[in-house]
This record gives sequence, structure tokens and C-alpha cells, in this order.
Amino acid sequence: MAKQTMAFSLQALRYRADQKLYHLQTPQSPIVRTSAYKKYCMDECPTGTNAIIGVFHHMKSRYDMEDAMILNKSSVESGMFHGQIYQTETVDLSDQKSRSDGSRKYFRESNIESYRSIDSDGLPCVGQFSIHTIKPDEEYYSIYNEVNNEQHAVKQKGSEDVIVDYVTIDGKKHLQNHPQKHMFLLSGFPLLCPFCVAGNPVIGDKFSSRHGQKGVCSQLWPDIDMPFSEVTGMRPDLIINPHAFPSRMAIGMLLESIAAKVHSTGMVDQITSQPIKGRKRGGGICFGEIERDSLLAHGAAYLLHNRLHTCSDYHIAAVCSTCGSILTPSVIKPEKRVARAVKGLPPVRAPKVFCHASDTNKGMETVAMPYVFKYLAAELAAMSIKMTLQLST
Amino acid sequence: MTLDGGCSAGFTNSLEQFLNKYVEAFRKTHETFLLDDHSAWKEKIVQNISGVTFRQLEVFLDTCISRYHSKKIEVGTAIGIIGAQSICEPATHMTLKTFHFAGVASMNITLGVPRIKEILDAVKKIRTPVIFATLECETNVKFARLVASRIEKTNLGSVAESIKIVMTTRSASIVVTLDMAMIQDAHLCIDANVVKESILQTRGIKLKQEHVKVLDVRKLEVVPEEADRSRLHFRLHNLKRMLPNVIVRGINTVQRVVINEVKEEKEDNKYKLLAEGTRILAVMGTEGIDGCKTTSNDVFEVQRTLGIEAARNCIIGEIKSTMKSHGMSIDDQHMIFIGDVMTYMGEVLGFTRFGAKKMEKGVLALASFEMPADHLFNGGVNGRVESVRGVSESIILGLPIQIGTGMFKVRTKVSSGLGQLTGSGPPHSDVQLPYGPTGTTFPT
Repeated sequence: MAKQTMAFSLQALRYRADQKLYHLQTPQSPIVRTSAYKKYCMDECPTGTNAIIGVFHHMKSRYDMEDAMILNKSSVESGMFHGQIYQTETVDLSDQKSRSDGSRKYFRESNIESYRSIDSDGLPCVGQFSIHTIKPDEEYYSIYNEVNNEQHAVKQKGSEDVIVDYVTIDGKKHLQNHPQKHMFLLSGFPLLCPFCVAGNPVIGDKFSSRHGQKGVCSQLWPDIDMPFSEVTGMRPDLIINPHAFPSRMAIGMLLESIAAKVHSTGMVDQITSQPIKGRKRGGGICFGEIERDSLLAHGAAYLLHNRLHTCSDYHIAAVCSTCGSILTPSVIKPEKRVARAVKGLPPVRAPKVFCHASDTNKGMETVAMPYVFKYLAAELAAMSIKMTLQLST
Repeated sequence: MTLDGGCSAGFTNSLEQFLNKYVEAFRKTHETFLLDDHSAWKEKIVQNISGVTFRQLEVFLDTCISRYHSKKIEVGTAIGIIGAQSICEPATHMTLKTFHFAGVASMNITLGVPRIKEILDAVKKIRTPVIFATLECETNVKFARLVASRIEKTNLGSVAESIKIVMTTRSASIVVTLDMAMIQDAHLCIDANVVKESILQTRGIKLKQEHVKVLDVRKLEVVPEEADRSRLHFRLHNLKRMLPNVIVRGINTVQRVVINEVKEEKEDNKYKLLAEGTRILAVMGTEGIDGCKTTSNDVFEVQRTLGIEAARNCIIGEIKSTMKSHGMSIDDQHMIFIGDVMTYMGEVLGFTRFGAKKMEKGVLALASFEMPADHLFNGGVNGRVESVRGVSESIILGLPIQIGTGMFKVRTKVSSGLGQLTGSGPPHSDVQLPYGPTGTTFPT
């Protein structure tokens, strides 16, 4: 969709004059990427912007029904989703009826009137915003017909303010050295003026995520009126109605939202397999007893479980259900594995687990536990204290 | 919603009582005004004075009932930790100053953070134990002083004019002379006989009846029996040293009694006794004290004398008053909960390693609190089985905790037989398993 949406579709943008091109001012690399993203080197042509999304029904405004979305006005005014549309105007003086009656036209500035946007050579002024903006119905180039001695200025037909990006000729290369190049330029060759219409999103513009969640901007809501998160005070850039999710089953979007939050991977301690301390070594922030108490007070059992177990030293251990020991089950390495690996064949089967204490490999269960618990069992065993687990079915 | 709005009987009763007051007021005004005739304008006046409109009543009841419902908490709320936070967060606003004049004349009662620590640790010997005694006759100052003198510890040294060793050729003795003027002034009923009894009852002094002679109302003579004449001198001086400390009046654990004057507006000033010390049983038994209204701020004292329920009330009251004296108000529920937790085992247990052990927490929970090596070792020696129910154990084992959102598990219906696979007909299962969020099961 790179050419049909606001994106960064071409890198040779400056040197091409396509009929219509869309260009996003601030493209960004997405936080969550698929493996295909890297494979296709999509970073070279990024197709969108990251945004902070709030998925809730905005009660106050009620503008987010039926896939409409509310944008944060201040974000938009600060340049989010700002884009440009490039449209090329071609002026060909040669293919008018003039050939038959022999009239010759060329670009020339009128010596009677002077127009704001027309330069001294009759061509439009290239340029900056507000100085050389060409408004709708404003003259932007003038032609002089030699035969009738007519000066004629042509008006911009669009309905928006445009800026001329550059003016160039559309010519064939082999004619560049022609002695009458000058004349050809003036009469025979079409002129290209890519116009650039720049603007912020307005109400009515259509937006979409990468999961087919499209919607029209229904309202630009001021930042100060936006709901904010309790702790950081962060306000969303975009509010999307949660009704867009259930029937569409856009699981990818939900996964992306969760994955885009900060990851908790990093270096772990050798002995305990828990994240290490220390900013220099890329360590984690301590989630101590007091923080544990705060989560307890909220009743957030699974969040606590996530913080202290899943994102810390999650480990799947083999437990012997006969003797209940964590330490005695050990993996037997089948000998044939090496030979098969050399031939490039897949491994035989899952390695067998054997318990030395109960002398059997039946009844081995796998239990998810913190790795440090296994370490505790080892330490206690060193002090002649046996710790066993009673597994329930 | 039930007829009473889903509120408890206690709440409904208190609401009714409150509204009855208005009914009574209205009736009274009605009687006063319309004693003779029942004209319309008089009715209007009565209504304006003490009437309540239907709309007023409606709004009032609505507010009351909605507030009641908003106070209900859901099953699984972590009240323990919330209670702890609710009490300790205001505690951080209290300065750490220990001795704070509690507004009672020259009485030092521990307040603030150290007091809270004393209460929650269930300290057996607190720094400033005080007994709050109510008099039988509350308005008489002299009566108060009289009773105070009965309680306050008085030694012989403070009432005796002189304690002298008298040595004659035939005998050597100690003569104690009492200062009767001072005794009269202080309203103490002490005479030589009382002193004799007290001396004989004192533990350190090994004397018998025949060794103490009462000479007259204010004099008595102590003759120690000593066979060995060389040691007589030593014995006499020893006695002379010990005699001033003999307690002649009062309870020996009460150091001081202060008479507190409580100023009331319309009634006479009331007098209360504040005794610094312990042994509330003796104070309650003193003549002139209303034993039923006597209490103490020492929790252990109250438990010993009045029982565990009284101790629970004492804990709650003490925490309340400590917080109140610093101008902080906490919902009663938190303090009631703490009182319950500290006394549910039948004795007062503090939040220390000793108390936690007696509260029968699991091995891992105790080990994660204090002294891990001891608890783990003892657990190993005694073959303890840890049932993973508490928060600490669950975290150690990597299980979700069993409060809050972890209070319930979700069961799913397991289909049986090939009929399910081919999609022909409904699954037939003899066992009805509850499934989905509506079927809840509590973890065993």
C-alpha cells in the first residue's frame, strides 16, 4: 500500500515527477516487527508511524462509533501524521491547436501586470510556504502568443494552497545539445511542476493499522481533555473503539499492542537465573517486597505472578512423582543423537528423564517453578534437609 | 434487592433509631403547640419547625443505603495488606517523638510510633502502663484523694518521722516514729499496727511477730533476734536500710496516682484516677473504685485479668486512641481486623517471629520472615508438610497467589468419546462439571 497511502514510497522522490505521490513527513520504524519485515528491508521504505493507542469507548465525545477514531489534536498539530501530496502539473505548449495556424507560444512574464506567484521568466516561483504559496484560482504561469501578441496567465485549478516543489522540463536526452534547444524547451516540451500540498490530518481522513483496522478520523480532541493513565499521565494519540475487535478477531493487533510494551529480557544471574542488578550491565529494576505488597493490595494475583515468576526465572523442571524429588531426575542422553545430527536428520525423540532415587523413568512429571526453588532444594540437600514435592493430579 | 435494601439488621436498627428521634421531636412540638386547638396555620408552624418532608426522607435513605453498599468489599480483597497499609501510612506522618504530654497533668504516656510498635509487637512489659480507674463517687475531690492514697504506693520512709537505731546496755533495736501530721494531711489511715503488719509481710525482712512491738499509735520498736552479738550491728544496719522501703499502703506495683479532672459543661466536674503501674486486679478490688469501669492500656494486663476478648478490645481501643491523639482517623475495620488477628489463637500474639510461629504459619512463610536456617532445619527434623496456602509460599513455589484474582480457578468441560470428534450429537458425560467463570472452585 506504499504508493496508495501516506508512506515513504520512493527514495528518488526528488528526482521523479509522478502524477500523484503521497509522502509521510515522519515515517517511523515500527516497534513490533515480523520476520518478513527484516527480510524485505522494509526499514528503507517505512510505511507508517507508531502511535499510542487507547482502546476504549470515549464516553465524553461519543465520536468513536462504527470504526471512527478520535485523534489527539495536539499530537496532530505537533506534526504527527503530517504528510504531503505531490501532484505534477504538465504544461505542454506544443500540443495546442497552434501548430496548424502557426502561432508560437512561450513562457514570458507579462509586462502589463505582475502576478504574485509568477517569476520573471513566466514560470511559477519555486518555493517556501506562505511566501510563494499558490492559492486556488491564482495565476501561476503566463504564456505569450507571438502571433496574436496575447499575454495569457493561467490559473491554478485545484482547491487547495499549493507550493511548487521544482520546475523542470520533460525532455529527451539526445535533444539536449540541439542548438535550438531553447526554442524546443519553450514550445515543444512539456513542463513539469510538481505541486506539493502539505497538511495535517483533518476530520474525514482515513487511518488504518497493519491489521485491517481502518477508520475515519471523526474528531480532533484537545490534549488537555484526553483521558490519561494513572501513573505516568500519558495520553493516547488515537482512541479506537473496542467494538472493532471481537467480531473481527484481530488478534494480531492485540498481540502487537502487548509486545510493543517493554521487554523483560536481559542478562541473568548465573546461580539464580534471575535478572541482574545494575544499569551498566543492562540489569533490571528491583521489584522488591514493598512493590510486591502494593500489587497484593490491588489483588492483582496474575500480574504479580508474571513479574516474579514468568518474567524472572521461569523454569520447567522434571519432578519424580514417586519420590517427589526435584534433584534426582536427570536426563539420559541417547547415544545415537550425535550420529543422526551429523547426517542432518532430526533428533530421535524427546530425551528420557531418569530418577536415580526411585530407579525408574516412569512417572516423571514436568512442573513449572522458579529456578531459584530448585537451587533452594540443592542448598537444603547440602545441609542434609530433604525437600520433596507432593504432586496432585 | 430485598425489602430492607440489602442492609444488615444493625444498620437498619441504627437508621430507625436515628429517624425515631425526629419523630419524637415532631411529636413534642406538636403537643406543645396544638395543646388547645388544631388550626391549620398552627399545623404549618409545627411542620416548619420539626417536620420532615417525604422527599427529604427519600433522599436521606437513598444516600444512607448507597453509602452502605459502597462500603462493602468483594470476596478475595487483600484486607490484610490493605489494613497494614492503612495503619502504617498515617504512622509515617507521626513524629518519632516518644514522650508526649498526653494532656493529663504531668503524666508521661508513650504515644506515636513507639506506642504503635509496642501494641503490634504485643510487648509484655510496656514503657508506661496506666490504669484508668473510675471512682464510685465521681464528683468529690476528697473522696478521690482518699481512694488515691489507698492505691498509691506509700513506703514507710515517706511517712516515718524517724527510724533510729537505739542501743541500750541490754538491747539494741530500731525505733520507728510516724509523722502523724503528714499522715492526717494525706488522708492515709496508717498507724503503728498497720506498719507492723506491713513489715511482717515484707519479703526481704525475716522477722516474726515477737520481733516487732507496738509501743503506741505512732511508735514501734523492731528487735531483731540475733544470737551472735558480733553480727548484731550488721543486722541492725541492714534493717535500717530496708525499713524505709517497706510498703505500708497501696499496691506495690503502682508508682503514682494522678487525679484527673474532666471538665463537663452542664454537670459537675468529674474526677478520674490514673494509676501508673500494673496489677489492675488489685486496683479493681480497692474500696471506692468501681471495678466494672476500670481498665488499663496494658494489653497483657487486661488479658491476664479480664480475658482475651477484653484484650482484643483493648488493642483496638489503644490503636484508635494513639491515632486520634495525632489527629488521624482510620476506619475502624482495619483496627478491628488487627485485633482479631492478634487474638484469634486464644492469647495475644504479636507480629514478631515469636507470634508468627504461634500463629501456625507454614515453614516457608516463617523462613522467609526471620531466621530461615532455624525454621528450615526444624521443619526437616520434624518432617513438616507445607500446604501452600499463603502468599509467601505461593511466590516461592511460583504459583499464583490465592487472593484477589487468584482466588478462583476456571474449569473447562472436557468432552468424552468419538461422538464429539465427528460432531454427531451432543456429548454424553455422566459427570456434570461446572465450567466457565460461573463455576468456581476454591483451591484445596
